[in-house]
Amino acid sequence: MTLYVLRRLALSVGVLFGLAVVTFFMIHLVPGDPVQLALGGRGTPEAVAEVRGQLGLDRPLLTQFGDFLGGVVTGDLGLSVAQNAPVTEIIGQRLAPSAILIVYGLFVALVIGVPLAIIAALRPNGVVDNGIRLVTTFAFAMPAFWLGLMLALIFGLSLKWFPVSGYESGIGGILRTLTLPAVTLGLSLAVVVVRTLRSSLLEVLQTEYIDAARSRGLGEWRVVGRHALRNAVMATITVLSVDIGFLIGGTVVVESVFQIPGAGSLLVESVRARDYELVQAIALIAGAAVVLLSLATDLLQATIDPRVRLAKR
Amino acid sequence: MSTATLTPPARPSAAGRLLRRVWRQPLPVRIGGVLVGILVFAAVFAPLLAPYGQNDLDFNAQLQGPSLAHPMGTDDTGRDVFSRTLYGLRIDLAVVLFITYVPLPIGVLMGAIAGYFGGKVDLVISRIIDITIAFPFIVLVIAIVAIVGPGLTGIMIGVPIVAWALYARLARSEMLVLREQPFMLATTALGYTRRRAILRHAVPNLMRSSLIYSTVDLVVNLLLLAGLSYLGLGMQPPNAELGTIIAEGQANLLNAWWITTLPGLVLVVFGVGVGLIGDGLSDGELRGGGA
Amino acid sequence: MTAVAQDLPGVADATTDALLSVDGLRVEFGPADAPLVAVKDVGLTIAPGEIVGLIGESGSGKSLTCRSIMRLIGAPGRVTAGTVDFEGRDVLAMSSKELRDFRAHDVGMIYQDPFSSLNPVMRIGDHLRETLRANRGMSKAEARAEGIALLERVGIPDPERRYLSYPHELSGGMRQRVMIALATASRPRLLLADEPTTALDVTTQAQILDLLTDMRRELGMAVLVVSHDFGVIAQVCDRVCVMYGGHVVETGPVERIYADPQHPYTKALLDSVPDMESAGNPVRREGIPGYPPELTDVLPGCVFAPRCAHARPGCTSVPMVLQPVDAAAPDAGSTACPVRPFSVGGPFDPVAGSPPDPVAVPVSPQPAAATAAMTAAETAARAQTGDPGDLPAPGEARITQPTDQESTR
Repeated sequence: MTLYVLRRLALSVGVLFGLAVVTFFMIHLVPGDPVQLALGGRGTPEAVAEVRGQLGLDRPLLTQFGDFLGGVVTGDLGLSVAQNAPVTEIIGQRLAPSAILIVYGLFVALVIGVPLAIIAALRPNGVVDNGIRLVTTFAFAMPAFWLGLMLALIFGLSLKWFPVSGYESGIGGILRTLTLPAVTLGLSLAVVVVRTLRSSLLEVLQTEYIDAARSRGLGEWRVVGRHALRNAVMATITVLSVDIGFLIGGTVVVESVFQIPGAGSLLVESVRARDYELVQAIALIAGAAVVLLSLATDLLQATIDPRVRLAKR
Repeated sequence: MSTATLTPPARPSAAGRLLRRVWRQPLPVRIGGVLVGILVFAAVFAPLLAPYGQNDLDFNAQLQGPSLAHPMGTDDTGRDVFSRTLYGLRIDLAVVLFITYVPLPIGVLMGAIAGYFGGKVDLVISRIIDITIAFPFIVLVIAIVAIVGPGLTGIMIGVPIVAWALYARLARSEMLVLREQPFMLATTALGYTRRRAILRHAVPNLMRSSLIYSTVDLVVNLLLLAGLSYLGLGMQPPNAELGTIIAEGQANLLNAWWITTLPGLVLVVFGVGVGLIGDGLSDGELRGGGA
Repeated sequence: MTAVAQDLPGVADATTDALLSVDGLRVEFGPADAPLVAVKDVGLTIAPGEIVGLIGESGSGKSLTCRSIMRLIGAPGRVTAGTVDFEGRDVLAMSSKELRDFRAHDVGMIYQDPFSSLNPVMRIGDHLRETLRANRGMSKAEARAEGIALLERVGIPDPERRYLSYPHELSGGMRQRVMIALATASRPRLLLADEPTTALDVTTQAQILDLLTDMRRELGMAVLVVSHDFGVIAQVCDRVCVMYGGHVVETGPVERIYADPQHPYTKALLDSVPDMESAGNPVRREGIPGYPPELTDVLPGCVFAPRCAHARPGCTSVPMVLQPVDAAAPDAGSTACPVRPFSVGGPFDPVAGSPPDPVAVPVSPQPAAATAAMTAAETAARAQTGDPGDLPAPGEARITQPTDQESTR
């Protein structure tokens, strides 16, 4: 187990380093001068040179990269030219709504997805299964921003159950302001949960140990709930760990639809404002979040399934 | 099937054969084919089918609900939403085809190379794939768009830079299996060049599952494209694109629901159609493999 | 498919007090209008405490028969005819509650592959505790004590530690012992053993078979051993049923079957098994020419006739019916071969169905040389039709493989 964790950690650190390299050079190697772009029309050559000096952009690229890496490790992601404030500070203020939205969305996806998957797998190709398949086909084809608008139209503007924009903290505030966004985010993920959990349940239900459990006279609920689900959940966790990126990416769109002041809407604002330092930092943080969360799910899997610890990667 | 409709076949008999082949498929695949076929037809012939120009303003007909004159109503400047949707679909489908099928062969080739050679080559390519996939797809694309500048060009550069990695991962894992197959081993025994072994023998086999997977990707990319345009990072106004039409309608969501709802439904119908075809194809694949 | 389901004479005496009797069992796959029939018409009986072997090649329907007894045939397979009678109760007609009770208390089953019949994410103890609590209503503590006792009884060293192990931490033989402990946890009267030793190495095989006979003696339970290996069957069984192509072709005491097989298929099967005498001096045994029937094949007569060295023209039209080997000795078992005794080219003697083709009636005894000649002729005929007789699998394409092999994936 220790060896597995160490190996997995080493891999994650490698990928994190790769992320830093990609984000750094993506911004610094492209043609065009970010400072010039950021200052827009106001950028006299003197002003550009001054800002460049201020940001250390006039030094050799590798020195800059070294500084950048050092900054990443110490939690200093530079200065936003447009807002004239430390990047980490700006992002820090907007992380909480995004994190809550992701967790809430995941919760919605599981609450909807898991029961539907079980029902579908118990009677494969039955009426219910086909109905669920049709619904998921529709749900999969819906653009998140459009679904969000439709929910806002129905439950916000028409029924007036929820506000259609903004964010409030506190349990009550979160439930009021983040329910529609979380449902929007969760529905598209629920489709993935239903499909993968259904097919892996079907696969597991074919195995001999399920047969053997039945042959010992165990009830169907016990067979499915205890023997099959625990194995099938593995596949779902794998898929979820792949889809963490999808979930984080989804917040970009959903936050913009519901005007939630999160990191996702900040990314869009930064692109519009040509604030490259912010874009770079958000991309790096989003990538790092994916890497760390998938590390967490892998370790979770190793806890659930003893075989994973032995498996070679 | 979409490509066949986009580029008219040389001989009419080929179209007939294709139709007959489509008609032998299971019902969901046929329904999906009809839905996608109608939308592709509408997109290709948008200039002929659209009753108005995409940017024809009519200040005497602002925010009108669906009617015979305006099947999808009008927006706040009196533009015909139906015409804008047709033009929008046209540009969307063209861009989606590009951003789906440009990265596909690149990814398959990279995956095939990684899987075929193994060792250091595999290590390097695999790490690049890992890092590319580690970013949330849309975040990385947005970052690239930020550099290139908002607009369709940014998306057409950004998506392929990221999307190839998904195909590469798929192809690599298949290549690892394929490499041990007798006919691949035979290419070595027969003294074929590696280039020939990979390009002529492995890649055609690997394309199959990537092509099936690409049906899912078509929908994902369409939604991504519309989403980025909705965020103002894709198609720039005033020209129509489904995401921008929806974004423009958001201000009048309650009093002119049709501007956001109906173009969105077109996206949903396309996605459902492709989904039905994709499901049928992968089911058929499973049946073929099991029997 | 006019085969008449009949009680098996010869075993009939045992059926009066049989523990289990299966009759006219038919198992189908695929569409209802064009089914693939995997088990065509199978009957067998097991007396209390008896060990019966079910032997046949893969695809003969022996495993399906075994699983039908517990109603464990999963979709798309289904039992379409026949009865499975356990102590006067029809298993096939049980409600799901009755079925669960039946599985929980009356029968147990062990599988070919102990690597896949234990849930990989559950500890050995979890399996035992769950079964004991559900089926014997034990408390947690009782279940733990009993579970460890069960492990000890099946010969697992250090049972307390093994109770906490995961399946992948055990060897194949140990896992099979765990499966036996699980299957016998509620002291069933019948144990179904589906190829219990096939996945194990030879020494472990013998140990597991010993354990099975011990457990049978200790618990007084009957055992049905399904195997393709006559050696396994001969080692533990009292009686044996030979299956071929979804039919029971011969049944009888192990000694009689071994010494004097009354069906050409049984003989061929025995001939293909290397015996002890030839062990040090390997002789290449004759396989049976041809292939077992495909599920799609519809053969009106004897299913073995197309491969049978002793076949008469009438064999392909007479329905398969088991008849006593020796009317005077019912315990000697029965055979489905109408040519009796086939070994000396005896008279063609069908009991049911249409009379034999006139041309087919008694021919002079066939010496072994003629048999060999016939086989040779058959092989030659196959060669002419471009049908290589030694292809490994019947499903393979019989056309010459195309040269551009990338298309044949």
